[in-house]
Amino acid sequence: MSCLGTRAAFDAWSPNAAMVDQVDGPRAVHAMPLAVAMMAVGGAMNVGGGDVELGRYLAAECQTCHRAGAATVPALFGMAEPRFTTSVKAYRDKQRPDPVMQTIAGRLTDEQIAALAAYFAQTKPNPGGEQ
Amino acid sequence: MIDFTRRRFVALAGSALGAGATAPLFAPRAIGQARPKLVVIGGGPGGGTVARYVNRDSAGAVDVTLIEPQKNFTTCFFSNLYVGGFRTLPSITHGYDKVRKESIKVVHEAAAAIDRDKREVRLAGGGRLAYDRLVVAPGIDLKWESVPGYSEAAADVMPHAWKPGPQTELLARKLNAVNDGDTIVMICPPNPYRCPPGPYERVSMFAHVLKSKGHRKTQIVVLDVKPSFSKQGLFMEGWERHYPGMVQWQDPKVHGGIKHVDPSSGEVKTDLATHKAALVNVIPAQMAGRIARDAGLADPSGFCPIEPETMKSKMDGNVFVVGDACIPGDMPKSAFSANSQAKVAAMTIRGELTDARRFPARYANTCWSLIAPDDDVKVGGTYEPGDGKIKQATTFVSQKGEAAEIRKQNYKESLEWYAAITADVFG
Repeated sequence: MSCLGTRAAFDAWSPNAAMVDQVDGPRAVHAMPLAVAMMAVGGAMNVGGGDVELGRYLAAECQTCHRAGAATVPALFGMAEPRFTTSVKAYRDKQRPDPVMQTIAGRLTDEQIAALAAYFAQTKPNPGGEQ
Repeated sequence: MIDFTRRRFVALAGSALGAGATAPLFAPRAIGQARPKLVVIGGGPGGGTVARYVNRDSAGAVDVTLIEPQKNFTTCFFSNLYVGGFRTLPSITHGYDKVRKESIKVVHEAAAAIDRDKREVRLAGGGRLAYDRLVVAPGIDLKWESVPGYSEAAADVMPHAWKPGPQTELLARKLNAVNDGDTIVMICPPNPYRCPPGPYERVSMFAHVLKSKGHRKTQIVVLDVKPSFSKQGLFMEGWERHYPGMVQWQDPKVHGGIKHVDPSSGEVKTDLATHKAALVNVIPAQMAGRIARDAGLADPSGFCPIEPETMKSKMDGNVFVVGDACIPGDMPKSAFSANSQAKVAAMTIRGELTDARRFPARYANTCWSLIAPDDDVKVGGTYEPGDGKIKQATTFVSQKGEAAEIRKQNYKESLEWYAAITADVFG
């Protein structure tokens, strides 16, 4: 659980992250009903290909450490998919330091990372842990 | 049990479409049928997490009741930081108002007994709660007799503080009354026990308080029944660096056995010596909470065997045991582990009661320990079912001689972990 990584590390890795978020944020919100519909009829696949229902299960592991408004451990809900995917793969490939995140990311497959990315991008801070 | 096929789920799922981004999307309420009942005993990091995740993800399809006698729950994790003066007690104490607002029924009564044949929990006040699935997360009980001379009554003089609340406050008061030149004795428990690095973090907090008060002669004697302990090299390095000469750890080869504690005189007798101590912190051996043992969920070890794929009790397919009361294989008994196990249990329960999708179990843990201000070390790993138990897949641990900046960062992480996990458990 501790999908821990520092906010600074996340931002350092993705210098245009804020811009990406701005661009992707509204689109992700607008995409929600479609994604929900696809989940209901199509086995929980989102428009970007990630299995959102799987992402929801896997995300529970992250929520032990990540929450909105924290200074060191970055919030994940609402994060744009490219930023999330790039960051987690960097930990998985040990390109970015942090033993906790390297351990957590180390066992994630590409499919699981895509599922998490889709889930977090499409979900607002919610009652599961992030406030 | 609800007979709820995936075809019907798809037909009904449209009702969730307009519910917004945060609405639960799966397993809608079964129309025309009584909702299946989940009862959870214990509102700590294991039980509280199961209740919230089943409730959140089942869209109201499961009737969730949480039984927790305390209206305000003080966490055992971070209670050492209270002893060390880094946290206040209110900052590690949490209520259940947010949980209640999520439509979980919270019953502030003790669970007196479990009737597994009738699938009922009997409450201390006489009420009965029927269940389709039951989660048992009572934490630990102490084996008072594991330390000769110790007892529940002796804990008023020689606190254990291994269950948080008044005992933790008593320990802090006694620590603050220690005079320079006095002796403190800690007796450490045998494996398995709650929070493996906890006793040694507590020793560090004792030493920090004494050092801050200018003590030069006070000794902390740590009497262990184990030949080694969690993060031993890191703690010993830290004690030598921050508190040189203050901490004396003795394994059984050194002290030869703990023979007797005497609450009236404050004496602790080992084969090697008799210590007259101003503070004796006795952490006895442990076992699963009484209700789990009385219900026949424990094995001779005193803890409860579970199926590693589901967190289901090996004794009863309708019962799950999570947290410190279970036998977690390679996982340590920690709040992090309990929270992780709870998510596997919640996913399984949802699958069984609402036909929601199920996924392979996966577990994780990290334990942070504070040795001195801004000097925090961590150990952790990932776990999966294997060889009939929860088996460690990967692990990491802080390194000796690390840069101060890394240790400081660890401390910041630990603070944010605490905020996040308590939000996960209590809302």
